[in-house]
Amino acid sequence: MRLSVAVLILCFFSWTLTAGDMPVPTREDMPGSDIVREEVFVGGALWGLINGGADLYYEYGFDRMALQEIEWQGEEFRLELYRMKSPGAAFGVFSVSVHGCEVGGPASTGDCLNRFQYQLYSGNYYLSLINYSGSDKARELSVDIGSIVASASGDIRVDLPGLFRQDMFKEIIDEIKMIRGILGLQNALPHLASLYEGLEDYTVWYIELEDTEGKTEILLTETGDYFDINASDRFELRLGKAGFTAGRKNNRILAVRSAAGREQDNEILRLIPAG
Amino acid sequence: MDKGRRNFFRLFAAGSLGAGLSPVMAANLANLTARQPTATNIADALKYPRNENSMPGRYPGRVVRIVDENSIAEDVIQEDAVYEMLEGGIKNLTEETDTSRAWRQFVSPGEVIGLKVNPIGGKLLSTSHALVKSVISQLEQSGIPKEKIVIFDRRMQQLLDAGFTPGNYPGITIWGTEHVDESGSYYDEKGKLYSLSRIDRDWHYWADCEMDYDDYMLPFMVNQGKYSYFTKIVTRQLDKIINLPIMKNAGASITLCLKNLGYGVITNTSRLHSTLWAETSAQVCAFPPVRDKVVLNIADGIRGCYDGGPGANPQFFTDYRMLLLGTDPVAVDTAGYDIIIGKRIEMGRQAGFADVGLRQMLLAEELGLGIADRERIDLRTAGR
Repeated sequence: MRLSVAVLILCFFSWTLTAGDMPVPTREDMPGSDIVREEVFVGGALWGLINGGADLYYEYGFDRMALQEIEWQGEEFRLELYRMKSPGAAFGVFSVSVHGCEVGGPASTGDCLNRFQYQLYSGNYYLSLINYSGSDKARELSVDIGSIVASASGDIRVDLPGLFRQDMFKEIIDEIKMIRGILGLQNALPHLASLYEGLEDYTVWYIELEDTEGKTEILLTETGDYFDINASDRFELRLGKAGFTAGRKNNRILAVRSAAGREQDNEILRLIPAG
Repeated sequence: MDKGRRNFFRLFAAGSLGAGLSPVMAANLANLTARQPTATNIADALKYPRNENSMPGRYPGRVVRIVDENSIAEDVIQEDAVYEMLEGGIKNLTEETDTSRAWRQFVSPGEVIGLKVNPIGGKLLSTSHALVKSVISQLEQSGIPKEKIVIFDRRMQQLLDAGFTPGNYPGITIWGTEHVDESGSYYDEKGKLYSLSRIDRDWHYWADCEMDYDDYMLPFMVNQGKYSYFTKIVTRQLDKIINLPIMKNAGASITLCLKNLGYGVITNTSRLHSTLWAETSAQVCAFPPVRDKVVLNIADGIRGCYDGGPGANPQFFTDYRMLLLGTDPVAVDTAGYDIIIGKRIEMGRQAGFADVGLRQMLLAEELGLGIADRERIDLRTAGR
């Protein structure tokens, strides 16, 4: 959906970089619209807008955010475009922010539409576009606005770890979450937060699936240069204590916890390449 | 997730590659050491003797949950219905038959009363005007004139954005610690933050952690370092405080009575979020300017959210259509926690109740601020 709409939009609208070189839409992109508020929040200023809610963005790596309040064709919108410090950070925020997508999905399409909100990520950008009415028309306009942003920001996707690019994950890849710190864990995976207590510099990829034998959780932890190597053993012990079966390859720790038990976990670990 | 999904791994087993993984070695569980807690000055707070107003107040463990399906009609919060809910709730809580007598259990003529609202969600999802105006109206009927009522929060701009303006509340003082002038500046003509004159350096919450703030962030933090100062509005200007949070989640926990106070009355808060989130919510409430002045908590659950909090994402809004009232902020938070997290579970945002979400209430209970044990909470449900 996203690409086809983007091409269509480019045929009819122009776009320019405004709001501090952020790829936000202009009035020209949205004929007849009124942008009643436009602000850019740089660095710590995000705290002034959303208080502690900003911490999640800082945890992933935040650069700036452009806020617009838009009135267009009788509908009202609140656009928040976050420029993160890396495409991974943008994808991570997106992956833990989307839920119940009526159209789209985190990994397959890179966007997500539901009644009141349209979200997408592209390159270093994460877009949250809220409409206040929840009408069909508002949703259609949301996609139009989102497409302007996607096009202007290059419509760039992040590469998932090779493990999750295998065909076996194709049907469930939209369930994937990417997290880079304890706040993200507490928000998105609270039942796993205690595993990472006291640890720093890691990226967590998580996917959960349910088949005929019950629930299976797959947890890939990529450790960074500042990850305490001594803490690594402690972390793996915690995994074991929590019922995960884990294996390590270089800076990746892959853990599996399935309803069928450790024998099944080991079987799964044998089936999945860590790369 | 499709519950009837075929066996995922077996289907693909034939085409899969070898693992190339090294099994994690078993090791001595004794190596699993607990993280050292970050030190704070909570012991200082506990030295001050309690008084009759100290949390958990007149009714430890008592929570009134008052529901009205008509509190929202055609997507609009109905002030008349909220007024009646508040009236019914305060009478139920106090077991008084007269509304004014019920309020007079907590406030007296001549006192300056602060209403601690939560305006973070802007016009979308802040403490509702229907509730705030109902509280003001019933306070006035109970002998508290408008000039003795203050609506306050840490952040002036957010109060204004959410509609807590002099125009909407004539005669009521609107007060933000992080003051912003009419030109939008946080600095006075001498280049000094307005907020520096609004904090009380005699009262502080010390914690052994700090964070550097950039120039953009400093106006919202007021100061750096290991000290968080209390705002003067609570230490010097108010006699009593009525806490008016809104029912929101904060990840797998909630932002309700304790959080609204803990993070709403001190400076330099960002440093506390990552390691002392729950501790701050509980411990700040144990300092006398908060512990001994907050006499009533009314959680606004007419419209709240179950995800995306403390921000405001409409996809996660939900019409709880209720108020929770109590003098005991810990009990109100525990009751609210069960409702909000229950909704998160129902909507698939988390798998089950996670202990981490209860931590702020359990810590507050240890500090004697109220009751978190559900067995000891007297939850009274009323309404239509």
